[in-house]
Amino acid sequence: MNDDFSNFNMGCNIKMRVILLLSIHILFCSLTATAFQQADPGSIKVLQLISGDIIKRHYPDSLSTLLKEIDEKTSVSIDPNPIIINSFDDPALLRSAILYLNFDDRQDWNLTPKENNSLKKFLERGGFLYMDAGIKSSFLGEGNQSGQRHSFADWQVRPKVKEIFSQIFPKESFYPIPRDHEIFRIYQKGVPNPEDIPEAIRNFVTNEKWPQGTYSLMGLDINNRLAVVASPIVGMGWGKDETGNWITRISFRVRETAEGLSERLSSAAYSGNKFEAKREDGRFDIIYSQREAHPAWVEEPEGRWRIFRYYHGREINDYIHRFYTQLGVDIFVYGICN
Amino acid sequence: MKSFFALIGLLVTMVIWGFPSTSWCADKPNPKKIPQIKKNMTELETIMRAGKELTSENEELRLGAAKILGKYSQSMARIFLLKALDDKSTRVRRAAAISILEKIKYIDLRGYEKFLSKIDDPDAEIRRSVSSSILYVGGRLTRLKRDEMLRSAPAKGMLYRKINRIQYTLPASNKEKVEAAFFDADPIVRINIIKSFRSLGIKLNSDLLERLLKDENEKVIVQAMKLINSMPMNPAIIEQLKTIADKASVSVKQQLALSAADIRDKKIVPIIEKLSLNKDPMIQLISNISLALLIRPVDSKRVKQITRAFLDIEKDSPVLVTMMYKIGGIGDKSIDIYRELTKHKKERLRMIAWSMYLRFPNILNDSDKWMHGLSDHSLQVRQEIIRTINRIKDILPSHVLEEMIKSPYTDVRINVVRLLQKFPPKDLSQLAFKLLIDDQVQVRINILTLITKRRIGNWRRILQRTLQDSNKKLQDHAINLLIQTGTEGKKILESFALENPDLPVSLVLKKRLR
Repeated sequence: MNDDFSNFNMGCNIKMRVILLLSIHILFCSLTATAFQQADPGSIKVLQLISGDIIKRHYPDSLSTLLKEIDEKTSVSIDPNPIIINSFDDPALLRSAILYLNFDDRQDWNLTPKENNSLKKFLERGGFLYMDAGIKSSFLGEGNQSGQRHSFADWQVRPKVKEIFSQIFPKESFYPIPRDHEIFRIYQKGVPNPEDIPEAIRNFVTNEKWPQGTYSLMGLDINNRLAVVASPIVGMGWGKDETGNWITRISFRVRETAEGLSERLSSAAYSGNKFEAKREDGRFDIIYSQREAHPAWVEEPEGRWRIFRYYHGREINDYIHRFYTQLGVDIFVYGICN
Repeated sequence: MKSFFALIGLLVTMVIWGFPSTSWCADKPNPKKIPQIKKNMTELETIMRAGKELTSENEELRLGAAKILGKYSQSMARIFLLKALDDKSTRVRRAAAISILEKIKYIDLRGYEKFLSKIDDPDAEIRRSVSSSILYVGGRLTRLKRDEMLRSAPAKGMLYRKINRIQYTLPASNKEKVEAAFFDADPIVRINIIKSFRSLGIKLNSDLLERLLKDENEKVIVQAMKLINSMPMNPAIIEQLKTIADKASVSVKQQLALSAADIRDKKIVPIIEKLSLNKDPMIQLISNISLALLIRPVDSKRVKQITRAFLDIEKDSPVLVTMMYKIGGIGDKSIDIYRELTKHKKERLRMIAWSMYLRFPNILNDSDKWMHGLSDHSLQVRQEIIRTINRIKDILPSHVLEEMIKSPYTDVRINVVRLLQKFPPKDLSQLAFKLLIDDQVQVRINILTLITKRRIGNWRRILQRTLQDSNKKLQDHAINLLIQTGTEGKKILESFALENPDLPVSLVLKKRLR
């Protein structure tokens, strides 16, 4: 139903992160299609689009951690080091089958005609594009910071995503990927064992938030094949540091109620604004936010009001990371196999 | 009357924190934003209503109130929530604990002490919430204590420097409760406490450690095992470790072998020797490294065992990364291990092996010992080698750099430019020239920047010529560099534009110089 909130966006050691980002910057400058040809033969290469300022790139460790996980845990042999491209017209795109991007790693989304053509060719000849943060609720504001810290299930792609693809494929449109789609169970099925998470939220998590281990994904078919997948930010739950600890801390956002709470919430003070968020059934929730783009409660279409509660803790953080990693593995394995 | 004082308290808080303002968080116009029609209550009214409902006999009303109060950072909301931690209903207390955690960054010292006192709540989920908060708040208790004292310092005539030496200590009642939580019925609470007790100033002792090592839950034992290097090895602990080495699962044994690498007490040697015979290759490897750290001199057989075992494990895991670094503590013989591990199949392990190997004296002076590493198929490995060189050595000899310039890898050639940063100007020209004719634009861009920054040779002429380069990116870069040099550069650009009015770049120049 809806997802989580990272309260520890970029890890605790900012200096270390700057050093890491600087080293990635060098990598970025030097990685070209030539580097693509130099990688290990035999393993699948994943491209990652990062345009603009590499220093401001989001979750720098996430994709490589996930690819490592895929390489180690599945029979898919995949190179854990993504090949960085900075535009869709990089020749490497047409020599690859899978492209990942975090939508906020690019500021200017006005594609050149050359980029449009290249992306079209890539998708038409069987390429798979995963647009992380391709869904971002309007209550998260115009900037990208909150959009990178809240994975909120809004069942519609960002307006810009819609615009880009309507220009390239005018006859196709994004649709909610159904819960019974193969993408959710190609490698792992269901949610991780929830025994460690608090009893009070276990039911919500397994039945309403991530039913059967599914998530709010929007898809676009090209030639009757699922070629583009967009999700709220998921990459925030992949990255591990050198010692194997999760880099981000993520909390559960849970919808809760109590007798009389609907009436109380309908008149309670809120310091932010209220926004609409599209539900899976096509109707709209009204989200009331606090400062810092913090969703506080929701007015649901059937008239019920529920409050967003945030659950923290090591076991919760670990559980969310395990789920996001499982979901990431499923999406990539699906992209590779299809 | 109570409400009146609460109202006054809230107003004072609002003056300190600032009144809530909708413009504070206003976003840019957004079509999805819904215009507000109904007039809602103020924060104060909402908090006071919820506070009142917390005294209701109706559990559901109290539950809703505890949930709503979590949305407000005002101190009055927190006061009500702290009170709700004493509610007779578990559901209400749980809701209050989660609400307090939602705004934990605003909590003051007294409020946190009250919250921490609930570490003995009958409900495990409340105890989990409270114990997990120590990790977030424990580290700032000393500061909160000092802040509190600073506020009252003028009245008490205390000196600031005295206050700055004060460390936070738990009140006796809380200390007793936290110590009891080491043996909480819930393993997650026990793990939370083992991970964070030090930030509360609680000291570990041998008896406590021994008891923790006997825990029924393996995850707790693994956490406790991480503490064994901070305690002397008394007979009871040794006995317990022997039992673990004999009977525990693979993951616990692995942690024991790993923790042994930080122990300098030879009493543990027989236990680790036994583990080194374990069937699990990881336990064998870790045990052998721990033994090499414990027993000196390290015999060649063990060095070979470690090298072989490392190369045979074709995995890359955090434990292996840790052990890779630990090898450095073995002494001189670690050079042989690191040299061999530069051939490891896993990229990250090769990176670490190279970074450690290159640190040994005289390795960098003999390029035959490391130059082949720059032909590694992994970009990361090549980058790591160059980063390490950069950190250790100021200047590499010319012939080594010339060798690097011949590399087929663009990243290596780009990094030669970095290595040239401190190179003597007189020897720089020759090498720079070779890089100026590199077939990769990025290499040329970097060397152009360097020679301009260091004013090497005919840098003006080189930049001037670059203005006519067929590559637009290079042209732009030369323009930027000349502009950055100030008046001199601008003059060069002006005269170039005058002398070459028909070139397209001259039009660009005229615009830029305007």
